[in-house]
Amino acid sequence: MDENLLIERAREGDREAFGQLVSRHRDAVYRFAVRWLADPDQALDVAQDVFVRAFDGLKGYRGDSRFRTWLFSITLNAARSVARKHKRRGEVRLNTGAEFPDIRTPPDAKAARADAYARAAAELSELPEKQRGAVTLRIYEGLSFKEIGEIIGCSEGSARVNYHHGIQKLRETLT
Amino acid sequence: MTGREVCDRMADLLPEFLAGRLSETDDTEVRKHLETCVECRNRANAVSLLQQTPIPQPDPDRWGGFVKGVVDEHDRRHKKERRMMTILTVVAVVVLIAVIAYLVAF
Repeated sequence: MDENLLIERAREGDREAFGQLVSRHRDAVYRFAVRWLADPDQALDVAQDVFVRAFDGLKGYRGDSRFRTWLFSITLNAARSVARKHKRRGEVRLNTGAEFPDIRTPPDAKAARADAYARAAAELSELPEKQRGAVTLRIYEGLSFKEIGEIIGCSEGSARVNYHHGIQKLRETLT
Repeated sequence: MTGREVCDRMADLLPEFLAGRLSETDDTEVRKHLETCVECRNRANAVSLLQQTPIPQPDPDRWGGFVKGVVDEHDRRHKKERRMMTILTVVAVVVLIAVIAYLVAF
């Protein structure tokens, strides 16, 4: 079914239509949240919260941006809140290779690869918020800088600069 | 275009290049540039590593019931809001009655 029609129906309180929207976008929302937070449990909580907020906020969605872009804006706000809450509590996130799936390569190479992946995820999660948002949305979701700017709350040019600074830092730490 | 501007343009194109989504012309341009520019090659390696990094998987039980979980959580929050509204309304009515009673008595 056409997405605009689903949105229209969900706006009128149609739960089935909203369920279909959730099914369509949950992977992308979870993916963005987990790349940003580097924590699957927190990311799942955020993804759920995003759709609950979206259901209530549908009346305010005017369709100026793509529906997914709008969801990513909510995701970023929710992820920021969760990150701040956990930071206040003084929790330390552990980025271990154990979170990643089994890789069918010899033990040594597998361990080295898992280490490299864990390091990459850790370095990404250490970037300042706007740079992390810009890099994540560009390299994993393939969004334009205009869309990224709408999500992270800056101009298209500033989104591009944040992406470049983020990539530069990652180049220095990962290579 | 200055050298810096060329490198910035390459960095813009890297995600699509690594995903094989560039046009033939852009793909050839990026390939040629990467052959000669160490800085951009290192950026490409970093972006490639990030793109290959697997997504940590969510709890399968929660993921399986995700849609239902969202709707249930939405209902739970609304019930809570309605309960709060009811309590506030009752408190407001009681206060109003008390004020009226006080004014009538004195």
